[in-house]
Amino acid sequence: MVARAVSGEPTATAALLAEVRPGVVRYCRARLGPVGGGYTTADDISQDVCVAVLRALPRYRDQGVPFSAFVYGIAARKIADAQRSAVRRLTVPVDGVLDPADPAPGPEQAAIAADQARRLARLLTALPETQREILVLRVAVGLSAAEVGRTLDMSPVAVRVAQSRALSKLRTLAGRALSGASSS
Amino acid sequence: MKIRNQGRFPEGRSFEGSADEAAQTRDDAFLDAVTAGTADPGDPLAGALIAWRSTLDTPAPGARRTVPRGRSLATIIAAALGGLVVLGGGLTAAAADAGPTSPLWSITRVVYPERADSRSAELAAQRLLDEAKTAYAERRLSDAADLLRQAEAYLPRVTDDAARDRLTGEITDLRHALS
Repeated sequence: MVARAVSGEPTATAALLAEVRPGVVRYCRARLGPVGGGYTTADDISQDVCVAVLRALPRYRDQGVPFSAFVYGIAARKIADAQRSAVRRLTVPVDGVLDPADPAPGPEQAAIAADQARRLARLLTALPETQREILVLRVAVGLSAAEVGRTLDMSPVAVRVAQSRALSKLRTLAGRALSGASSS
Repeated sequence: MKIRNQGRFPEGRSFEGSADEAAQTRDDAFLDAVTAGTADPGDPLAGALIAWRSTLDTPAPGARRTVPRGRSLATIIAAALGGLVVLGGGLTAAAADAGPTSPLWSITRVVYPERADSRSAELAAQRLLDEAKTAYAERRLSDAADLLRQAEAYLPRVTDDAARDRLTGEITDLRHALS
């Protein structure tokens, strides 16, 4: 399908974009987080990523990299652009800047889950970039360790080592924070 | 254009103090279980990761813009499809405003779903409006009024301001003629 899309076949291109879009949306949401209680900004960026993938598609064959690396490399650059823009405009939170608590949480279970998610997003910002990127690709996008390795140009062993260290650090950092969130 | 590992993810350095292989295997399986939704939610970290992942799948009503900031939609689509136009040969710049009959319509639906929905609604409203005009010309006034109501029902989905204004004007004119 990738080859047919690269050759400019509209049906294959549409199918390919439809296949990658959900992962791109989750990646952008994971990296940028909610802004103003929603994912409008992240979803706008994910749309930009899809357009950028579409534009760059004809060049894919010459790059000799896995398609996931092609897609998420573009996504990472778009995220970086958005963060730089946010810093300039000071209107969009970037990594390390936390969203305020939701003033009007929904049902109790949803509120607990949202609180857990917020706490985790906060903890992720404390991880080194490599470890955070690996967890985003592993958990948010749903890639396997091997796929993450191909995407980030790391060996599978290096990915497993890094993700183990990330989980270890998260468990250490989380401590009572996550336990309290889950038992409240 | 090199994308991967542009210094963002250095791999050459050693992983001092790394977890043992058994722990790495266990953690890898743990992450697989989280993404599969089969991890023990009683584990605080698993619960948090599952909650985090689930929030990323939450629909965000009205989240996506239909017109990209700072550039016209037509410009964006035309630029985006530029490569395809060259490689595809038969594809033309007219695809920048692709409709359901365009070979690029399937791409528009994926990349700009809201735009595609608006365009579909616009075309449906126009078709019904044309039928209403025909019915009016043939003095089938009841049919014309009914078709006009059906056309109007599509207007809320038309997010293109110019198209919606044009359709609203035509619908208003025909309603006045019918009254």
